[in-house]
Amino acid sequence: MKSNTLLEVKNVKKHFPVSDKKLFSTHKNYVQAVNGVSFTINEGETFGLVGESGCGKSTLARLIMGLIKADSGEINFEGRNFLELRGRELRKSRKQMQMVFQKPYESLNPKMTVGQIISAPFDIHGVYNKQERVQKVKDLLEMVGLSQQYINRYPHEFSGGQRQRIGIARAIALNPKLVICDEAVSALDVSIQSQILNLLNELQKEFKLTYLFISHDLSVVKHVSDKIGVMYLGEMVEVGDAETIYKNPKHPYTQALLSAIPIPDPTFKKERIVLEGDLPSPINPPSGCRLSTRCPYVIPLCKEMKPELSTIGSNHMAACHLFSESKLQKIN
Amino acid sequence: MARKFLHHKTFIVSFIILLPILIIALIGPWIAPNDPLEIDSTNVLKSGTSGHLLGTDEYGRDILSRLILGIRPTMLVAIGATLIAFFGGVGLGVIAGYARGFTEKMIMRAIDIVLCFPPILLALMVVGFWGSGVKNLILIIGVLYIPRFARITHSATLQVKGLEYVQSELSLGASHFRVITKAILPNIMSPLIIQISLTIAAAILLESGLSFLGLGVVPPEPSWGQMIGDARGYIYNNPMYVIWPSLCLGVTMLAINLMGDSFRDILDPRLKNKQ
Amino acid sequence: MLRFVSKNVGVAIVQIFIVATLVFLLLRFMPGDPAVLVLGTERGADPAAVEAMRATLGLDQPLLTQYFTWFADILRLDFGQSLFNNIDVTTYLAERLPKTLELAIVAIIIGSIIGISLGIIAAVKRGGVVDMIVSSIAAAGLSFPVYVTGTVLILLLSLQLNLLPASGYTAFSEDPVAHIQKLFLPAITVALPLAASIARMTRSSMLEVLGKDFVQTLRAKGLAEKMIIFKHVLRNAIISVITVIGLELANLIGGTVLIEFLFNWPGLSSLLVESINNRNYPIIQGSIIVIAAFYILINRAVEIIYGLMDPRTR
Repeated sequence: MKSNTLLEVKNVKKHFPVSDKKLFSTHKNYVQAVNGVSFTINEGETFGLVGESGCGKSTLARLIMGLIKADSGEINFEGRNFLELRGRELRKSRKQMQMVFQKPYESLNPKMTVGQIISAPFDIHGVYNKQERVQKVKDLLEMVGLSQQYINRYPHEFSGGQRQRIGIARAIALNPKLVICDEAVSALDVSIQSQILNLLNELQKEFKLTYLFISHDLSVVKHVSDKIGVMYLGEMVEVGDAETIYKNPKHPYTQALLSAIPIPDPTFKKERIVLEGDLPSPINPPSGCRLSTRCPYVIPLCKEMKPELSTIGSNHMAACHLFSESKLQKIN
Repeated sequence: MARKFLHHKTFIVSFIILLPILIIALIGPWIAPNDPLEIDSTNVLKSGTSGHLLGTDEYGRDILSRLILGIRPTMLVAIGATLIAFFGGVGLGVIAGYARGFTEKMIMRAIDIVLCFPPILLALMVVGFWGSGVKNLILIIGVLYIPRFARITHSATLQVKGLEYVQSELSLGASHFRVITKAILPNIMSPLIIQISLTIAAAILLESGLSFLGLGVVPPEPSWGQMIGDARGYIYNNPMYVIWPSLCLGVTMLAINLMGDSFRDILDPRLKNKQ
Repeated sequence: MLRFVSKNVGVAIVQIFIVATLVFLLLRFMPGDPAVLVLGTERGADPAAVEAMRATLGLDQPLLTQYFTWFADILRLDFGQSLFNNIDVTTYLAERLPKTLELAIVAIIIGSIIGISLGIIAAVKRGGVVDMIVSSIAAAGLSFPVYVTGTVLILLLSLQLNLLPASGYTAFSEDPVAHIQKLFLPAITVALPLAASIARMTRSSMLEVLGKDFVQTLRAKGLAEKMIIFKHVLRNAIISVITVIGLELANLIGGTVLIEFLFNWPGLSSLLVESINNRNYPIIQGSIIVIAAFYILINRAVEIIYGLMDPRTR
């Protein structure tokens, strides 16, 4: 393990049982939401996680936060395996890791004032006395670009962007090391999105935060990330430096995603890679490579054997048979 | 929210009817003109005379005083039973909805059993074996209405539990107790308040029904239902004897139901649009 | 279909079993010794009499034996004998049950007739006088306890107008006219809240159907409005009656309990109330189980009829 690794996710699995309507059936189905995902995040960097909706990104975020229990695997945070922590210890550890949620209209308790919402972390972990808390909340409001006077207002009085700022203030209240942003800007207007992204950027510099930035929108992820991971149907298909992934995507799925980003240049002619068919059901995913049903470069091996995530360049990994060296030339 | 209530006509009407009833229930012993238990064999079943404003019953007891004192046990049963039903039902419902799994199944099955019988039959059953009286009535009626609260709380908890503000409390490391009391309960109060008003009405109906059958509040302590039950044998001698308690009970029930309707209107606007 | 019916029968059996167990437990775990309570303070002081009464109530056996005997007896419809005259409880039940059923059935018929007709008028002349009167009376009538309504009816029809006898019962074989006269008031009293619910339900389901496209089609092809209402839309009124009976069954039973007492109607529920008053435990047990069983069976029957009419609810 490198000295500056903050979070290491190792082969994490989560399958949700699907309830069967029939009374006496012994056969159980599972949604393979996250199926053996591994990656690492270094201190101070922003790791962008992309994939279409339903690919298991949010489940992965909740697994890392410990909101749902993983079936197997390891989640090492500062060298300690989170999955082994229980009860009080697990709750204490939450100080180090916080989350900014997806839906600004749902993530703030409508029955609490802004002050109560932001000082909730202090209440829960019993830090600071009353006056200190009020001062802290005011400081935090200021930091996320809101007026101190908002302290006694209720969430419904704010716009989506303002609410997301409140959510961010709550997330950074305890000076966490890692902040997981789960589709944190997806629900916002584009102009507000960039404001929030800038705010996140500033906070990162000021507090040396590490971000796990989850989004279905590759253009947003590209904008903020140092490293990017691409997920498809509960599995990581490509990981690498943001620059590398963007300039030189290897996995057919990543290429398809990137080719879907519009480029504001009418003279630019690009090759559009379109995936055929629909997203297969995560209850019964294709055997072998999960992309094999839709991949334009599919070869017989893809249907038989699952490709492992393997190194294909410096800081660049992909899970595709095409890069098992000998076949590398075929695609370029 | 308070302003919504003040501008709701039905609410104001029901409030104006119920407030004096509640006040009389509180200060009854000090304003009753006569001792409601005092028997006067020379003045039996008299209609309104100078000594007794609303006349006397079959033992010569003052009807007005009995009416005034008769609110107390009814209100006591209604409020006591509703409290038991509320705390019992909300507790069970929130645990079932929050814990899920086996606990949830056990609680909801037990609740289904109680719900599948008519309340009055279960009440008669318990009263038949274990006896009547205010204390027993509070307990029985309270337990009988636990399931309704539990069901509502259970389904509301399931809805709220997946929302991000509950998830955010959990991700902050909040204890289950904090999540339930700060994030879940305050946000599911509306349907519960509506159910409180419905339960108060149902409890009054059940108490007065049992007292009417002579199986509720134990005589000689008066209660409206019991007075109607006793008076039904003397309609020919003194019709006003049965009319007064019937009127009191009818108006009170109407007012409570109106209040329940106004609560539903104000707290659950979706229902209003449906009808 | 067969699966659906058998599932409902299974549920009914489980529910009756639960009631029987509950009744069993309540007597065994009541505060105080039931034998002493039956005998009263005087004779209850005599240990021999108490022992004898315990034997009569079947309380002298080990609990588990009592439980098995209890179910064996129930399966044979044997609820023991009345404590005061050695007449079989079953005899009592057989005599009282038909009277309650008669009251309930007549009430349901009256309630349905009044409810459906008012509901149709209110729906067809929506917003009209009948509609307004029906909905406001329904709202007010539903919040009055049945026995208050009953008392008002007695005061009005029998005391003031002297039209009907206030209470009591005459056997049909004895005097058919008196029988019907005495049945009328209690039946109407039970029927009124039912009628109010049926009228509401009929109105709203008729309105829903009247707004459907197929009604427009029928009108467009020139069918008379009467035909549309009685032949095509009314079918929904029948469903609403069954729905209301299913929903109001608990109230209906509560209603008959209180109304039998108010009108001195010698049905099953007045038997139950009498027996509770004089602690005749075998009769209490028997009548509770029979009433509960009827309630459960009707509920299941409604469920099955529902399933037959609307396969989606299965």
